[in-house]
Amino acid sequence: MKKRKIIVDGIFANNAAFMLFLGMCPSLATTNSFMSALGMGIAVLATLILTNVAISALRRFVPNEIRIPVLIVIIATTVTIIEMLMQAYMFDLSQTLGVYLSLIVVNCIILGRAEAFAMKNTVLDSFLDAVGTGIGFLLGLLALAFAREFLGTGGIAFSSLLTGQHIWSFQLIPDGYTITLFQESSGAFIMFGLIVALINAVVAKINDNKKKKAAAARAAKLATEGGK
Amino acid sequence: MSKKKLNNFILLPLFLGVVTLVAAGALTGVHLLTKPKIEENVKQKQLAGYKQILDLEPSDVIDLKEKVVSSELSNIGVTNKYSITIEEVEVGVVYDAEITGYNSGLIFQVGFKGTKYAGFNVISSNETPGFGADYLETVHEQIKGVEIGNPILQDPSKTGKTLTANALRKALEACAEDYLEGRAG
Repeated sequence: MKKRKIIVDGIFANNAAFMLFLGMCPSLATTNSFMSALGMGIAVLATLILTNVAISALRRFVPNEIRIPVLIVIIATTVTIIEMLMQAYMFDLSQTLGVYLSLIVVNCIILGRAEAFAMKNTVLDSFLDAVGTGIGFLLGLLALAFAREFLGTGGIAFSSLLTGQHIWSFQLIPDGYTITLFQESSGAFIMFGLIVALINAVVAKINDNKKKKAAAARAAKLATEGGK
Repeated sequence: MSKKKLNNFILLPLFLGVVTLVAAGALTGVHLLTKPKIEENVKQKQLAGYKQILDLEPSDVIDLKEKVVSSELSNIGVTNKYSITIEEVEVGVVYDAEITGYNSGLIFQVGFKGTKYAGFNVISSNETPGFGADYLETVHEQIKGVEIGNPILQDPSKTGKTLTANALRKALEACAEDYLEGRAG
C-alpha cells in the first residue's frame, strides 16, 4: 500500500469522526470549546501513534489467543501515561477534559486501528496509519468545535495548552444573536448531523461529477470509434 | 499434558503476566516522575482557589492556619479546614472536600466570611461535561453572599444534575454548620 494513501485515507476517505462514526463520545462531549477539542485531538493522536507503533513492533510475539487482552493492556498503559503527563504539564487542560481523557482507553478508534491495521502491518505503515487517522480525527473535532463555539458564543477563544492562559479571542456575533443550544449536548448532535450532511452532499457531488466525466469520456471514445 | 494444553494453561497467562509487569513498570516510572509536579499543580490551584473564593487579590500573601476537622465532617469527605489570615488578621475560613456527586472524585473548596458563604471553587471533578460539570460552574454565583442557614442549591433546573446538586448541598451545609459552631465556640 502506498505510504501517502495510508495517511490521506485516514484523514478523508476513512475519517474516523465523520465517515466511520468512531469516537463519537469525545467528539460530542469535548467539542463545546475549540481549545478542549484541540487538547483531546492531540491526546488521541499521541495515543494512536504510540499504541500503533508498539503493537506493530510486538505483533509477531503476541499469541493470537490473547491478542485482545494484550492490546488493551498496551492501550490502557499508554493512555494512563499520557493522562499523567497532561496532569503534570497541561494541568488546566487535563481538568477541562476530565473523565474523557481516561475514556480514550475505550475509544473505538484506538482498538480498531490496533486490531485492523497495526497487528497486520509494518511499524512504519502503522505509524503512518496512526498519523493519518489521528489527524483526521483531530480535524473532525476542530471543525465541530469551531462551529459549536462560534455559533454558541459568537466567537472563538484561544488559550495556551500548557498554562491555560488566555492568548487571543475574537467575537463576531453579538451576545443576543448567539445560538446557545450549540453549547449544549443536544446542540452537539445537531451540529454533528449538519456537518455529516454537508460532507455527504460534497462527496455525492464529487462522485456525480466523476460519473459524468467517465460517461462523457466513454461517449467521446465511442464517437471516435464510430467515426473510424 | 499435551503441548497445546501446556501452552494454554501456562505460557499464555505467563506472557500476559510479563506484558502486565512491563506496563506496571512503565506506569510506576512515569508516576514517580510526574507526582511532584502534579502535587505542585494541585497546591497552586488550591491557593489560587482560596484567594478567589474569599475575593482576595492574586498578589495577596496569605497564611493558612490548619484547624481540626471533626469526625462528622471527615465522614462526609472534608479533608482540610483552614483559617486564612493576612498579617495575622483572619479574612475567612475555607474547607477542602472530596465527595461523590454523579461520579466519585469531586474535589472542591468552599469558603465562609462573617455569617455568609463567601464562595466555591472546583479543584477537579469527574462530573459529566454538559451536565454536572456545567452545573458546578454555576455554584459559586449561586451561593456567594448567601446567609448561612438559608436554602442553597435548591433547583438544579435540568435533569442529569440532581445527584451532583444534592451531594454538594449536603456537604456545603455541613461545612457551614461547622463554621458557625467554630465561630460560636
